[in-house]
Amino acid sequence: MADDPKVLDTPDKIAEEGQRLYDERHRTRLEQEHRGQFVAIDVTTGNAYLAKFPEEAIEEARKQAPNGVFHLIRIGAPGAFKVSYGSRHGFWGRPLRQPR
Amino acid sequence: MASGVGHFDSLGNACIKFHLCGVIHKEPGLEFEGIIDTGFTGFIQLPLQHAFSLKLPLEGTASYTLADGTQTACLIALAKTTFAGKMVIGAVTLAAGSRDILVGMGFLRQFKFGMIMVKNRIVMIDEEELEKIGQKQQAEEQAATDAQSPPTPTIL
Repeated sequence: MADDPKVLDTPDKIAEEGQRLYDERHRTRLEQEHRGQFVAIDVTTGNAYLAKFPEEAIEEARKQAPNGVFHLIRIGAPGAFKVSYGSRHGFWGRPLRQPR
Repeated sequence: MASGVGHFDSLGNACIKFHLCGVIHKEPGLEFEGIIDTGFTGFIQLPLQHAFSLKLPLEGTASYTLADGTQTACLIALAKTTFAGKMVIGAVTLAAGSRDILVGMGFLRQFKFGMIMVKNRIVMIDEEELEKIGQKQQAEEQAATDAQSPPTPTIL
């Protein structure tokens, strides 16, 4: 069976789809006006839910889209969060992106 | 005054205990001990297996930037979190392949706590109380300065 990129059955695929939708539909506008805030992208519709803090963005997204699957992004930052205590963590086994 | 107390573990990590509640347990839920990571900008990072025992409702994913600059994706859930008698709802990230529970700066922000580490103790103090102490000190310093300065001569 061919690998269907739209089957979002792993965290990596959800994250990649969320990032793609953000890049294509929302990045330009949001990075001009809302840098540093958080946005939850519904990967099933492409809709974006904006808030100052991560929990607020997810709560708002869930309220507006009860069946949504969300990818959280910090506007203008490479990831939603930073972790310094990373050396003992395997996470999902492979990095999504290498440092530039 | 709301406050909480933490401790250092055998490896010297600053730790606090808190409760997390998913959809199955009565509040405040189950108790966990986490390492305070001042370089972690999120709320709480939990090893994935705890999501099963807690029955955390998954919301989606978030990506992390690690110390070496690489990015990884993880699942994210909202959980009722209780610490020092306060309850907030926070975005808990679920890391596979991790055994450590991390408490980030988002935790202090949401609970409105400042943190002081002295010798072998960790004390969390309510931000409003710290603000009041700062204001009181400032007022006392101002009063001392006013008392030292000579009285302004009155011109008739």
